[in-house]
Amino acid sequence: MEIDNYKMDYNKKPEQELLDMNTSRCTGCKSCEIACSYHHTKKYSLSNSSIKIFRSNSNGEIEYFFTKSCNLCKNEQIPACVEVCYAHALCLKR
Amino acid sequence: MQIFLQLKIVFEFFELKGGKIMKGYAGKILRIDLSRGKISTSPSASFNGKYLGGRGVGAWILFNEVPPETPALDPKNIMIFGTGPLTGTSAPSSGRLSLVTKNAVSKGFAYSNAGGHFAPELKYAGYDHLIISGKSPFPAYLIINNDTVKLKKADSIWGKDVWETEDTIKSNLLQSDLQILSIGPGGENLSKCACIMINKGRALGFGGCGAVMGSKNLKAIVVKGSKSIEAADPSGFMQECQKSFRKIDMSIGANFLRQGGTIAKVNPSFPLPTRNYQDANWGEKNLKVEEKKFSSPFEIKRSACFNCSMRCSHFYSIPNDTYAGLVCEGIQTNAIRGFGSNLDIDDPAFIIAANSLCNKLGLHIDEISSILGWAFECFEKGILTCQDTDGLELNWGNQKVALELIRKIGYRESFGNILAEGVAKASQIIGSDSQKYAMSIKNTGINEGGIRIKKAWALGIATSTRGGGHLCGSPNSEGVKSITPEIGKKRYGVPTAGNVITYEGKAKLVVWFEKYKAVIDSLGMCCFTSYWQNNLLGPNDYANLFYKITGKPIDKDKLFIIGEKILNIEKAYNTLSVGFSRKDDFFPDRFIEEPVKQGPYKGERLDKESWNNLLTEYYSYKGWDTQTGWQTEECLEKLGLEKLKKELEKVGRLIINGNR
Repeated sequence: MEIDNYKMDYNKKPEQELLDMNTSRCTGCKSCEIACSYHHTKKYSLSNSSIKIFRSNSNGEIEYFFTKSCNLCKNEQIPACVEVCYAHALCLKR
Repeated sequence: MQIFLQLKIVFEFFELKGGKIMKGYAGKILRIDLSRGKISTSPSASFNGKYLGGRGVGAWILFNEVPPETPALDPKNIMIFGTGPLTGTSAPSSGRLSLVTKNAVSKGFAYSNAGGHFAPELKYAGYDHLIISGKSPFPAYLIINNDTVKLKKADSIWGKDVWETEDTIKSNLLQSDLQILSIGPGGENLSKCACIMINKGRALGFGGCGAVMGSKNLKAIVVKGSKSIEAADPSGFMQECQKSFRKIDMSIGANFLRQGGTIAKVNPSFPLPTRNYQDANWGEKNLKVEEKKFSSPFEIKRSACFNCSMRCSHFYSIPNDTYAGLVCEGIQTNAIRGFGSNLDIDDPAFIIAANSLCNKLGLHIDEISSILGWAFECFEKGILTCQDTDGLELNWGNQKVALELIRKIGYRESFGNILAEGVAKASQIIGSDSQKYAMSIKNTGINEGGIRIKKAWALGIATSTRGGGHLCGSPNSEGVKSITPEIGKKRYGVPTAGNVITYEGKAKLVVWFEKYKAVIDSLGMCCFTSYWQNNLLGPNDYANLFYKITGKPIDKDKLFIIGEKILNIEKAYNTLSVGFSRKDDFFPDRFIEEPVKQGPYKGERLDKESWNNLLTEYYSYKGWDTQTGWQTEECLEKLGLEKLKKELEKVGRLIINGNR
């Protein structure tokens, strides 16, 4: 590996069953990653986010992952990623 | 693959040397000297404090480090990639990357700006700006991974197109989560029409910057970063961002852009240049290229740049017929003008195919379409024949020939070798009457609608510090119904801001917009969420965002003074390197002599006397000399730009007390 792969503990099939992602709506803007990192650290980064969005630059298709650090923003009414999603791709199923 | 240079930055003394890093910034400039194989970092605070970031800092560094007589493709030229204080934060549409370099087309100043996801990643890697200088002894590409910076031989990617390059790098590095910018064959072959592509579909287009990168033997830059950016007032900044997003959601412009990017504006009366600007109205054919002709059957995905709610960048795929299987991201009106009406081709599939080919070859569609329009018209007028064009018949509407010419330009093949010089130079090479048909300003190809009609739009292009293009001072307010005289007066101090054909107030409007745009470019934001696209983010919003992220109080007036300084640095660089003056702020005679032939603005053209008056008014607002268009001692003193004054005085291009 030539480049640090800073988060490898992805859950491809999210344990966070309560979060629903509509990948056809997702625009790949990563606003959820920014909101998530802010929630955890009060700073902006992609490496501290518990949600990870991959956009294919060839056709725009989206893949997404959650890391084990996601706790659905335990003390908040709505998880930060759901609240910020401008494309309304992320939904809470409760 | 062999790494021939690597630096692990272990000790960082920059905070001691360069003062405290302002919040919101990464704090460092990364410098790569390709000739000497030297990688170093320095503090960015002193630059950012004066010129915000991005375009502004780039302009100041270019002015100080690249002597104006330096040829653009010389190793002494440098490329300054820059981000701003808002890049990579929760501020709306904060994913823009600026590039400043010596212009390979106009031979003066060049800045370019692109979206995507590269700029935030560069900042997360720890750098506000990246400066590339010199020339690598062999084709190379750069990998930036936080503090580890590597230069690698580009054997496996040199010669490949932009898409193949990105895929190969990701596969070689066993990672897909990387941000990559690269050049295609266009840049490798030093085509003056070459651009740099980010994420396969976003272009740093102006100034032949792809050729500049190619001349440095640099094929690609790969970046990955895991650091963080912090606001001075984290919760205050977050609230300001949320307020900004709400404002955008309430805007009329947002609705348009979300529908299909700028192509949603194409309606039957939308001015489109036809057949190399022989007319400015395409009539009924406009209906064949309106947004719904693209969304169905071609749109497969709505996409967005970093932290943007506009999603104006759509993916289009062609399911069948001639171009089956082609995919392209981000068609905007530039492509419809350049490859549609300009060549008289009303087939959306072709427009997608031509845009896609340019993206893959790394060619700038504005310069390409301008040169194609010129070549087709020269063929029509008999100036060029099949003997000149490698046997190709350049008849209006011929899709196959247009695509073949684009390919030839990318590879500088036969006739394409002349076209690759850009429209102004190519017309000089061909000579005779052909120069009459070269639609260029300051040697830069024109791909614009409404030059004869919208006077402020035209003035913004004519006075653009990067040679041309509407993304310097052209306002997007003319003809917008919601810009009433009251709103025009309140926002810009210009009640006629929404009026289409009048000259009145338009100089003041351009002076306002060019400062506004320089600020947006330097903060790292996208102008699509601003007043420019009739959205509601105004100068006070940017001032508030800047204050909350950096902790440094600022107001609209102070931001605009910085904007004015940036524009004056760019202007001075043009004056020093090419000597551009008042005569260079005129469009080709066609726009003055040939009125619009049909449509709602039939008969409209640029009136020479009125244009002269408009220029005089513009220079007066700027504090420049009205006769030469050059800067005055008084203006530069007022802005505190002593160094510019000295340099201009040395070459006799500073106007002192009205003495010319």
